Amino acid sequence: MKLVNVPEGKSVRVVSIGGGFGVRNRLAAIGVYPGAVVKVVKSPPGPIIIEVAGSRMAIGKGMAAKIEVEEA
Amino acid sequence: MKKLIKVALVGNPNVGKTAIMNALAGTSEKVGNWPGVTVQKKTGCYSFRGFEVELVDLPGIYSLTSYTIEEKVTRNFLLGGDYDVVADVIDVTLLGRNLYLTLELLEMGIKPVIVLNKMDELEDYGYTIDKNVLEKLLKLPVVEISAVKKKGLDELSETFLMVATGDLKPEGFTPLYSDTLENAISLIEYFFKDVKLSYPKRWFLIKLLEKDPEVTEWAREVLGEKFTGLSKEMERIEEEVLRKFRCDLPSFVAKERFLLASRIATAAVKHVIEFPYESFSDKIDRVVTNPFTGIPIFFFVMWLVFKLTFDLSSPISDLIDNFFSSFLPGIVENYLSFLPQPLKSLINDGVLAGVGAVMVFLPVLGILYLLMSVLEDTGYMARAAALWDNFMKLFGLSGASVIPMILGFGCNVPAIYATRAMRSSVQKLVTMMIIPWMSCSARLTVFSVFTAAFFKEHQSIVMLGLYLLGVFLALGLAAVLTRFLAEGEVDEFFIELPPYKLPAWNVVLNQTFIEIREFVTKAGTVIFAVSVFIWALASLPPGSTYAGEETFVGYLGKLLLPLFAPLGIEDWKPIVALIFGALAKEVVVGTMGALYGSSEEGLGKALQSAFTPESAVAFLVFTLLYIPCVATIAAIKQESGGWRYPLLAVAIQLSVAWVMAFLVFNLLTFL
Repeated sequence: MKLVNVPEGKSVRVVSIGGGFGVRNRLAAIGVYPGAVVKVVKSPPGPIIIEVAGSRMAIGKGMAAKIEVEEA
Repeated sequence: MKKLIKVALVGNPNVGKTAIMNALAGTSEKVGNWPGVTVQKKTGCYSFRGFEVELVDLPGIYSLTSYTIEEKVTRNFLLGGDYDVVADVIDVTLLGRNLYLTLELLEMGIKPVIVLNKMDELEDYGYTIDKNVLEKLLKLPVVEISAVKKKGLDELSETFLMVATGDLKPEGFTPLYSDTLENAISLIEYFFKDVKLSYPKRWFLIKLLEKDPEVTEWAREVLGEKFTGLSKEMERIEEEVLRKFRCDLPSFVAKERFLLASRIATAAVKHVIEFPYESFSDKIDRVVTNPFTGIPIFFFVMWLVFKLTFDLSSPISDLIDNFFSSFLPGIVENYLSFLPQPLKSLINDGVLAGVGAVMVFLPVLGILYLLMSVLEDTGYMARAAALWDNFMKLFGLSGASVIPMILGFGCNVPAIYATRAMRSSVQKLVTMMIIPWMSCSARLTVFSVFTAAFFKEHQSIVMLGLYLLGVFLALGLAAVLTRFLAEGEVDEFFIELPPYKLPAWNVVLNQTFIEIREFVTKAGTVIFAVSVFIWALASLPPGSTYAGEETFVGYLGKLLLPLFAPLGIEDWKPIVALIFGALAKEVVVGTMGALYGSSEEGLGKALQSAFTPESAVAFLVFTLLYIPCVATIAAIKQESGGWRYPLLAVAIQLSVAWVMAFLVFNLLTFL
């Protein structure tokens, strides 16, 4: 399952993240890394909002389509 | 001579570094740029116990890699060592995530003072933080403050002094990670055993494992041929990590650091009371970032900002304008009539007009700064940026460019300053370059006079067409520029949505005052100088009528005539009006009125004899696109930290304006 398809209010575990090293490293710095659990606060249309490590992050649809997740 | 202590402020975005600068340094703050890049540099000074403390605000960042210019600026400043104390500012409500950066500082061998900011907000979150645990674990001095409420500031300054004078020597904790990572570090350390590094070795090795582009390049330089062996070893390590943890090496290192930071935070947090995290704020977020509801809300907010800015500022601007364009010149005429005419003209048309040109911007800038800070502080700006991100990506920009661009329709000058809220410096630069094509209200005066004279029936369609042409070309230029400038820059792929809150008024007002002062001293001087220069062109040689045929400006107009002939413009007067338009676009109409010797009402008749409908359209297209006004140029210069980008903007715009006007004229004539 991709992060972009997760319904609102659901917590999921990150499996893998696509994109360059820079993107992955920076996402890990805010708490989005393989194995981390994030909660989807809002799903499309519009950007995805996740709760991670106590803060809210808006992630673009394109980016969210590159994040593979599974049931937490 | 007081002893100077230099303190560098480091921290994530939104941790309140600006509020700390405000609380400590007040209005002494100076805004500039880091050398060579469009990243803002803020410094401020204050005295404490006989010492002069200089604060340097480093760009807000989440980590210290070299993927973005902001990170590079911060990192190179820290590696350079030109400071006495590093203050690591932490938002206590997000302790775990903020400690990630602290660990990176410790890896670099830096022993920062930990500044726990926003202590006053902590009680809303239902827990407290045990400062002693943090001090013990990190082996660093920890100070609790609230910059907005001005609490704990003396203790903070005291700690700065003690660290700077060496009375307090923080030991600093060395972050140790899992066996897998520590093994990896030892394995690659082998390659550097005979190499002298000018950086802390452990930090260098960890960054190498994170595949940091800059550090990898340094390693390639120092190792020479041995670099291939290192690459092979790294590949082997990565394979193992991938197999064991399903994670690439850079994310693995970051994850280790994140987990250690979280463990430290968990140990320091006391009395956690479970409480439903503002589900109401989440509800608002769902509405304002959903395009169907969010876009109408966005336009409503922008309309409100516009209305407030221009409604509130225009009476004050009019007063200021009157003061400099009729009250003071009247005094000069009446009481200084003994002065020779050229001197009176210098005072009235040169100096007073120049000062007036700067001063009329103050009300609009002041009110807009205030409203922008409110949008930023309440947290709406981040939501608007998230909302537009997807659409703006098409043109290589991010959602954060939308607000400055829309403000450009009112006045380009505050729009340029509004780009400060943008985090990515490349996108900030590109946004500044395209803002002049957002047709500002000053250009509207030219459009309305011409469309009334030539297209009475289709006035609004022609005007709408001009606005759309500007937006269309701006987005196109953005797509081209980002391709050239964005080399190696990673897209802004996430935006933090800070909790909604009321703005801190003392910070907002103080900041507005500082911005206005910076505008007058930096942009104001350029605007004034150009105004006087154009006055000289229009009144020399002595004895000629102001802006008349025999003056330098008239001569210039005629000289440029061949350039404008292909656009269907065969009279020198509109060209002179365009030269004056470089001062401010609203001057174009007035100048033509004066040159054609008619009132603004009678101007339509004069224009109908000087222009054909086709050349009128060409002239309008040229006016829309040709050059940013001098105030906008000065603003771009101030914000980009040099003449390179404003001059590039002028060059691009003049050439595109000519080409577009040429195309439009010939297309219309052909049809």
